[in-house]
Amino acid sequence: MEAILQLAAANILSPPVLFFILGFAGSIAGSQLTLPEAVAKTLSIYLMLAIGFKGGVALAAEGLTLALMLALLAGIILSALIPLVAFFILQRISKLPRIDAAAAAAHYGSISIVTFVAATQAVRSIGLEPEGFMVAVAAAMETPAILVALFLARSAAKQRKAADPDAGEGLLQEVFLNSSVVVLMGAFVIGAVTGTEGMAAIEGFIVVPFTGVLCLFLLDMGAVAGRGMAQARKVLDARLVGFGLFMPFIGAAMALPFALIAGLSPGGVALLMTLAASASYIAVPAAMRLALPEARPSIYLSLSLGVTFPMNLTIGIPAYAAVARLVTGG
Amino acid sequence: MKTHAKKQMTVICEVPVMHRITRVLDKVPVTGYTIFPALSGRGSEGTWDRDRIIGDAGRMVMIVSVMSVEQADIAIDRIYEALEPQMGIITVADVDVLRPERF
Repeated sequence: MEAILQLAAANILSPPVLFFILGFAGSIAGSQLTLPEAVAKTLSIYLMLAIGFKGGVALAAEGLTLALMLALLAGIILSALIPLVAFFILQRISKLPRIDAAAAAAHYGSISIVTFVAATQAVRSIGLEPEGFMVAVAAAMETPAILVALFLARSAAKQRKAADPDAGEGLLQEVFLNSSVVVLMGAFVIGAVTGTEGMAAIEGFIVVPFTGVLCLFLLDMGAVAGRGMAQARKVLDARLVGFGLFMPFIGAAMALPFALIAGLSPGGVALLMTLAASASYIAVPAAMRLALPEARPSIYLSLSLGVTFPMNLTIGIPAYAAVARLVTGG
Repeated sequence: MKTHAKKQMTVICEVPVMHRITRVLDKVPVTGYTIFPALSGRGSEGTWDRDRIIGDAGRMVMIVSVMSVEQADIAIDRIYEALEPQMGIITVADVDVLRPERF
């Protein structure tokens, strides 16, 4: 418990998380703080590029290992499994219509890449070096959850396909070619191909400014999450808020045995737990607007952005890292 | 100056749905269309602002296309079908153009 509290304190007192809290508190207090859409998008692409490239360079050094294959497989299984659990819990504890529950469940099976970036930074800051290929695991976990959610809400999805036979085309594009997956995986491959020489060439761009850019991005994300929480207070009841707070721990707990079977390092275990705990708020909402437009965005966005994201960033990540250390003895 | 009667179709929709609408317009086919980003607004769910939204869900665009009456008849039904479950606005207005061969 003491280890968890120490990690939580170190995490909360790190500049990125403090900037997130600043944006969050400012937004709750009524500040109009916001970055222009184009700037926020550029910062997000920079972060994906940097984290993807670093992961690729690490993979080039580590080589293709059994752990990589097992971790990828674990990520895909978790992404498909978590929405089923989330859907079951939502159906039991809330009165949400099936379609809202399915859409919300999809967000929990998929991942928040910003949470992943923050977690990578956090575990490195406590001396844990995660496997480079965790970036590929993150990308692999984006999609299966969306497909499972469509299965859970199959009646509505069937009607949609009948009304617009080309609907699947836009959805597949949204799911497989959304900018975070393209940049993350593209940079990962470029990093793996160019290795340490490539890193030496662009190190000044992607390593040194990384934490500063992350601070700026999280300042904006804090403001976005603060607005999400203000919205959450209007549309979510206590049970749904409870779901948003505790579902991440269920996801993280589900990931732990998979991470141990895959033989991940303590940093890798912490990251897989974080990925399983995080909820998407960029790729999945856009896919849901296409596939399940009847599902209410105010519910799933408030849950993932207003409740789960800030909880993971402040309490969740250090808790997963502490458990990973405890279990692996790292 | 002589002008010619045409129809102007305006569709306000969410960014994720935009390509569904442009696919319909491409298939009609219309000569062209222009897409504008919407900055902010107020609808049944309250006010929204482009810079205060994360991701494409909830961001709105306006698609404007000028076409013949016949094309508008075809397009309106198909666009309505594609947009029916979504939030958005479709309007068709009479407009006069100077160069009819372009539409």
